[in-house]
Amino acid sequence: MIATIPSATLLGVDGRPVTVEVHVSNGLPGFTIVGQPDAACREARDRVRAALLSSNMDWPLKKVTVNLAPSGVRKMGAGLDLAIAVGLLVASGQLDAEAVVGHAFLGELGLDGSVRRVPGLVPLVDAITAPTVVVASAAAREAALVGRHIVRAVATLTELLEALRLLTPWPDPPPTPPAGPAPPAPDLADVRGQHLGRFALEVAAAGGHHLLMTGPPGSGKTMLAQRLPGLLPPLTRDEAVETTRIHSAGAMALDALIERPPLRAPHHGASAVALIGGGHAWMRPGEISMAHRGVLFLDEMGEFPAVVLDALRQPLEEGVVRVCRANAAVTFPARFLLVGAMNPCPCGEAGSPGACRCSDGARARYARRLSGPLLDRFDIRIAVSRPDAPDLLAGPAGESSATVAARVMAARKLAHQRFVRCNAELTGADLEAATKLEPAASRLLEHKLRTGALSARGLDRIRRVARTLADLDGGAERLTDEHVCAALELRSAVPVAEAA
Amino acid sequence: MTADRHTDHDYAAALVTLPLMGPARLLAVLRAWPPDEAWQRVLTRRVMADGDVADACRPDPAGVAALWAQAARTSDPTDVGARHRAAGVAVRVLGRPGYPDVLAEDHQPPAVLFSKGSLQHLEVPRVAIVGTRRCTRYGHDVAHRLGRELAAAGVVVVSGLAKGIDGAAHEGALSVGIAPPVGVVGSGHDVVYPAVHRSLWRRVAEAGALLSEAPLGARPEQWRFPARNRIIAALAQAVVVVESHAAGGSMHTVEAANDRGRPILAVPGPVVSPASAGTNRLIGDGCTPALDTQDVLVALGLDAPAPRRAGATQQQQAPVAPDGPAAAVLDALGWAPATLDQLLGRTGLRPGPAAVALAELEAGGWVAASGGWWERTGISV
Repeated sequence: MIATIPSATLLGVDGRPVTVEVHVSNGLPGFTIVGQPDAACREARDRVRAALLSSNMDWPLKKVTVNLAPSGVRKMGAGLDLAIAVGLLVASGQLDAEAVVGHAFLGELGLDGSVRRVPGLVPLVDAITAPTVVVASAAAREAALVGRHIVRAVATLTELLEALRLLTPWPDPPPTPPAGPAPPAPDLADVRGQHLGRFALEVAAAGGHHLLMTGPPGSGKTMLAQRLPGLLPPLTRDEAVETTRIHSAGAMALDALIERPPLRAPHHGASAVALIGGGHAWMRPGEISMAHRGVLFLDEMGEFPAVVLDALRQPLEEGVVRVCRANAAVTFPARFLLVGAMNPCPCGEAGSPGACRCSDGARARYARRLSGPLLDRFDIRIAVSRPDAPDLLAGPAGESSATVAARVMAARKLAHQRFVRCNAELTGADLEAATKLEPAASRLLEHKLRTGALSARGLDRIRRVARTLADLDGGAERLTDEHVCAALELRSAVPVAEAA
Repeated sequence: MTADRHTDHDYAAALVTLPLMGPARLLAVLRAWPPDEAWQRVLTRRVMADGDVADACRPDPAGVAALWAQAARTSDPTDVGARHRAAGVAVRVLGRPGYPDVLAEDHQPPAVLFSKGSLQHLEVPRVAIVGTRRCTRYGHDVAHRLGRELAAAGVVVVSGLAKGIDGAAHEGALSVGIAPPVGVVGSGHDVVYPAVHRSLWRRVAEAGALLSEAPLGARPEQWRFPARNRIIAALAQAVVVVESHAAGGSMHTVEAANDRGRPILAVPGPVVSPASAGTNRLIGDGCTPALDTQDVLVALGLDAPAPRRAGATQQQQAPVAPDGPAAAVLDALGWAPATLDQLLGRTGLRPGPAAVALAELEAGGWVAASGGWWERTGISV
């Protein structure tokens, strides 16, 4: 007898529908899984058998063949356990085939018959066309985020069978824990001093400009970076769903949609695969994809291996990263705002003339850890200094995140009128049209270009940042010398003596 | 006669190239014997016969003698001399014609001196301008101005051609064509250190003179610099320290000048500036402050102490004083390096106007930027 049960498996951040076909026939007793199962998937045989026996079901002493279709897709992990068990029960006549019509199953089985959550439920559920999805009770809320299905949650195989046989009603999903007030996001008002740092954050958020902060230890680089997501506009519904899918595929246990831009801050020990995504069987999204629509903060950027940093260049340019392995190629979304922080030199005095103890050579070696092309991606590069003492002790509290976020929102609206999400995406003729210069500003840039203080590529970046500055000022059509000067200042802290 | 002199100088140059041959040992060897005999004695290991030489080679005279003999067997004095002549480097031996009198009178003279350029420049008044390699803009500008104005007054500037203060003083002196500077370096004439000063080395050697105690090919090893500093102190009739950290290398020069009874002047700096900690301490210990070029000329006895003109040390280059936000930014900057962030905090200006003000000040030569730090220029250069 044969049974056909719908389920799904994960590839990158997408679910692929999988049909589990179970065939039970007379012959030498045995159990075979075919259709590119990976190691964890192949082990389903032992888990399913123990779970059935623990739940007082019979293990058929017949020849059992499980086919996972389509056979071209590699099946990953233990998420198909539940579907295989149900298929086996139907094919061996222990469960009526009518009872499972319209149901898909996603769950891992314990040897005692318990049903466990599997990673990546949001994309997995999204891939399922059946109207009803059965998952582990612990995962009920995550499965419901997709919103198109009837989600049934069971804790054990016994519970599932009784519900399918209509002996008991489906168990209620576990109660939602009372939604306490969300932990307050770090607010910009907590930051004392840091006039330039605050300003740079605002410009970075408004224009989507990548930001590099150099400064001595303890000057507040991390504190500033943590406040950047709070300045970005909240995610739209589509962006929230997209972000939630990625985080689910990245094995985060989720209870609700991700509606705020995420912040990811991987340690500098991270490998290239951890940052970019990939892996052998399980093509996992990397940190840059987990930071999609949010902020990727690389602290101590100079300590990251050069190979890892250079792997960032292509995704920075394209907003996606394509990871290819012998048996699969996956595209991960990776449109993030990059914030880097590094010490300017080994001694920590930040190259302060007369105080820094590092030789020019030592400083240059330190700065060379960031390749020129990567450095060039940063529209904004500022020196963060330890605040003057009066600012720390008696300075007035700065503006709150909400005030700044409102200005950022207004500036982004102006960018939308130019048909881009933010000014950092302006290129070519659009950039030309959006950044007309006042005569004084034009003279200033001409001078910089003539003296070699600015390259053609640097010029484009200066114009983009100046456009954002003008947008924050109310959106004057022509850029003034004030905007251009400030844009030049926001790009002046160059760790190496290279042309801007 | 000429050939004879050549050989003598060749032997002297060859002696300098021996391993473990420092200034004190060389002096002892060449005081004990003429160069050719000294070379023969090195070859035959009879060089320790003189008590002073053996003393200078403590704790292991026999080992040193063996090492020297081994090195001398593979070395050809004629070849060493020829290489120096080919490189345009003159070999000057203590007690022989051509050796500068001012060094011959010193109690620790370099027994052999390698020179490029003309030593006539040592006949006029000489001032050493020394200081830290890690100088601030202020120190750089003051050193440059002192170099320029002293050279214009006919005073030869002696310095070490290092980065920072030394280089600035040499550049200043070269910028007027009156009294060309003298450089004293720690490495061989063909080992330019620091490499970024290649052009400065060449220009000093062409216009003035470049001296070294080290033979061709000698690396800038650390011990050579204190030794080099004693030559600077011996050459100069006064020493001006422009900027020095509390335990900087310039303090070697100050000690050496003190031993020789040379007047020492120090340029005062902000008490918060680490680069001025050493010079301010010197003034506290009783050194004459060098507020301008006239102070240095007075110390040399070239000028009478004159009542200081009111405001003489104030900004002299200001054709038009800045006003508006630029004036506020200049005030807030003061005389210590500051970042834009600090300037925003001190002035309360928004980044846009502050950036415009800084651009104006930079264009007017009032301030300069390096590596994200803003500094007030001491003097327009």
